[in-house]
Amino acid sequence: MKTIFKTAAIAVIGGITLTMSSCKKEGCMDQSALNYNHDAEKDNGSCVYDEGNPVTLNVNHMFGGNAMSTDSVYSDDQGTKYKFTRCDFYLSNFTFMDMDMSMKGMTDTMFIVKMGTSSLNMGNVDLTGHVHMMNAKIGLDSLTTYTVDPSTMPAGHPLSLQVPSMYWSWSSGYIFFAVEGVYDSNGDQVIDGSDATFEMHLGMHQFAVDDAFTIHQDLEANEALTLNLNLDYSQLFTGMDLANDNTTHTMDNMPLANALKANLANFLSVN
Amino acid sequence: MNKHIWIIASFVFLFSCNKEEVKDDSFVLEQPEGFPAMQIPSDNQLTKSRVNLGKKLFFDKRLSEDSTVSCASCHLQPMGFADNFQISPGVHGNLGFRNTPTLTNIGYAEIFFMDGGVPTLELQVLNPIENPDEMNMPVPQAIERMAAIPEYQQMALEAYDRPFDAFVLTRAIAAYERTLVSGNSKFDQEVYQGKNVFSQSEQNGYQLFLDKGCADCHSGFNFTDNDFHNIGLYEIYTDIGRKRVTILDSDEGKFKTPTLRNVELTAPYMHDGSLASLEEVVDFLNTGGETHVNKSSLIQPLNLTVSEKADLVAFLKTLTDWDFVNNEKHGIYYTYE
Repeated sequence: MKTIFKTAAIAVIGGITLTMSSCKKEGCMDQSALNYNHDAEKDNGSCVYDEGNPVTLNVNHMFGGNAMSTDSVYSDDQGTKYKFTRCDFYLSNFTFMDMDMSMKGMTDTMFIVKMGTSSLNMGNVDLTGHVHMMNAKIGLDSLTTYTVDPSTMPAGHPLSLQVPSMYWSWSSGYIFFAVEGVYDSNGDQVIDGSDATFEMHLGMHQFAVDDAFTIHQDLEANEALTLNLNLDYSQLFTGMDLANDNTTHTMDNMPLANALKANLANFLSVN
Repeated sequence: MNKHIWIIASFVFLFSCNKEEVKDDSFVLEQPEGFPAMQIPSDNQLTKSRVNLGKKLFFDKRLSEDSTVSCASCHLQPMGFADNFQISPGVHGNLGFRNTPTLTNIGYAEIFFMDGGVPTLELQVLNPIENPDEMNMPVPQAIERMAAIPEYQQMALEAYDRPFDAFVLTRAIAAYERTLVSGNSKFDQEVYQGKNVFSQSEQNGYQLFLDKGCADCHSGFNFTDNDFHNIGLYEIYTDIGRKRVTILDSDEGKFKTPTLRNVELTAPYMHDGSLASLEEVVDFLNTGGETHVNKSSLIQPLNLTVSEKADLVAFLKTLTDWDFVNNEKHGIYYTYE
């Protein structure tokens, strides 16, 4: 009888141990690691880290020479006053030209930059020696834009569903650039609750903007590269007449979408 | 030693017995005579638990901003999973700009919305939830609200082995919608099941449907070619149709060919609900439509007599599937066990 209990105990403990160990998915749980596995429930020590130069972009939100504020009232080229309420955009497809003039990609790195974003931690890339320039895209590449299903992306990922939305559910594809606000629609020179809103959303692959920024900086091995990403909101509405033309979801007002895209060329700078 | 092996084997047997008590979750989708097998994504094969979850969500008004509108508010089973508004009211009575389409046989559709802006049934789920003129609920907020309901968390784990999230929301509702198969109308009984049920008028109407070219676009088992056509409803379209998503001038005024199944129940008609009855639709098509540069060459005056128009309408009414409309399995009170 004693032997029976002993055997039974061994069987139960063995079964429980097997069950527990087989249920937990193992993998690297450090988000800064190259092989981070978001499905992992138990860290198995397999994390692999990039030994290159850590790159950080400090984001400066400017309006001309001053800090941009959602409390400030600005004027377009026609003198129409307006305020910003939202400016969100994707920044992706980063590449760096190193000392050998070859391009180092960080193609999986992407961000949604918002008016409250102060810095972007881009991870590591080996730029030891010298970095000549950085390329980046306002928007997303066409494959991502049209084939990624946002409902399959983990919460927190830039491509997951966002509030406010960065995805067109009526014409599947990501919104690259969204700028919204209020303009002086009644002409009383005051921005208040009686005024109308403007809303400009750019999407579709041909509306992504590829930017190239000259950097020229020497770097030691593993030395941090910190750059300033300057956003000049005064450039966004150059040549526009907000009182008369203020809404586009790209396809429904292509002339305004094209005008905004053209202005984005002067929106970003890096130093 | 043998005794030990037997005892261990007994425990293993006991453990495995517990696991095998899990109910059979497999779901067999009805495939009516004459219908092809439905193409279903590999990550969303039908199971009872998925369909049950999707159905519960489909009827749940909590998916809308103020908990007043569900999917079922505009897609009513007695009306072939459409409704009878010209434009359906959403939250706060907001009105969009298109007539509610039927969900009859929606699992067989190859592209979604009248302008074809969405490629999958799963992605289609997102728009009505977040559309300001429908449920006006940002999807992440809808997920947060529903995920806080323990019953939904449990159903999500059972159905998809993951907590309630955007994947579960979109997959489950799509899974339920794929079960909305209608294939036992009088037409099906006559043509696919070999029963002699058509009246003379219905038979005449069917022949006219074939001879007058209606079946060129309303083709196949589901009475749609899944393509886009400008039928000359207007000379100037305020709703530009497919051009809205392609930007091509050649797509202006083109809309996806709707299925005609259960069409009797889904009045009013056209993308904007501008024609109130089947008689009005036939009258319109009989004229050959307005002039438009993109109008399909298939749209020509039909030269129908009064009697022929009545026959054509009689045929269209044979596409009503009362078994489908009255099938309790599609309703909220039925649970697949």
